[in-house]
Amino acid sequence: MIKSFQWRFLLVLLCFPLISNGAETSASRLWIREAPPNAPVLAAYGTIMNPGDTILRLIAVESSAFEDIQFHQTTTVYGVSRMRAMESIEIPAAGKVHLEPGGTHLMLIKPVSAIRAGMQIELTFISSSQQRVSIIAEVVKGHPDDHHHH
Amino acid sequence: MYNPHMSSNKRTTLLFGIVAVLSLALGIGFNLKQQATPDPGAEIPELLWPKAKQIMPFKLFDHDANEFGLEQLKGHWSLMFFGYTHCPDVCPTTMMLLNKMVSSIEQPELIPSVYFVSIDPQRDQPAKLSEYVNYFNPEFIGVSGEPAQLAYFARQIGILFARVETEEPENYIMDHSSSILLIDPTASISGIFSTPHDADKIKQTYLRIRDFIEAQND
Repeated sequence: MIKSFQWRFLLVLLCFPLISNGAETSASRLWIREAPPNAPVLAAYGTIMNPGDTILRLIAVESSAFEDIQFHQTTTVYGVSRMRAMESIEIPAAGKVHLEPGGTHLMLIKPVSAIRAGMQIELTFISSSQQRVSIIAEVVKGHPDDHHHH
Repeated sequence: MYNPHMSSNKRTTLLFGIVAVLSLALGIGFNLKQQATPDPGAEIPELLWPKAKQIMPFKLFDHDANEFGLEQLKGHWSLMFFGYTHCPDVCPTTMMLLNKMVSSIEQPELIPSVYFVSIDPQRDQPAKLSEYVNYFNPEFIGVSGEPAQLAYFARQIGILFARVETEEPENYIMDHSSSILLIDPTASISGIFSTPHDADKIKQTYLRIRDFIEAQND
């Protein structure tokens, strides 16, 4: 049972690069925003799906491209933006979580080498049950929507 | 034209007619004047009017390490945003939005100066600021300063910021106001754009405020 769940999760996530825009709602999709050269921190956004029938709690993210990755959340209260680390991200059964500018995001700390638009970078998510799932995120300058509409 | 045989009744009617036409003309004129100077406060919530906030002298530096003070803000329109280069989310989002906003202004003479004021001078040296702002738009100008000067400047214009420690001391976070300030050519804050920001709305509102303030000075 656990094994088949893992496999479904993996399959859906790994399919992303092959799936066209029309199928966005059914697959995880992550993008990294290109930052100024030598920027010490970047951010990743997008949608992570949980096709399983139990809550999925993601507790860590790893990538050979960054020294550290943290879940972060920005909130803006009375005009002041505050960014705080989160221990984990929970995704409801058969649900999804949206990571977006000005909200929940992955903070990518200290890139090992320059991160430029067009690159594909593997991010490995680790769940509370120690499943490891990799998603390929594309580096985008600006916002993916900017490119779709042109 | 004068006809001595015109009855007094006809004369009264003519007089009445002249008064009516004059009243109408005056009325239209008054109405036009009213339309030219509407109460903008009700229409543009971002506008600070008539209480624009005059900025007092301050001493910061720009990304070329040149002095940056009140004089540099005078004589042109400016947008000012506060942040820091170790900010991966709100700051790049806002800088890209400001680039989108100024790039969509068709007449070059209407493009405002854009300043990114780093509230993290410890990590944001001029060279780093220069590289940072240049990525978003080569015309943008990075600004920072000595902590005391920066605190004074922020306080007088109502910008809040605070350092928040994390597990690794070098990776501290800065909380900061994310509003964009509109500064007019007299170095007064004449508009404040609060989050959530929208490039097109900021552009339209900026142009309306600019039109309004310039009409007052004519």
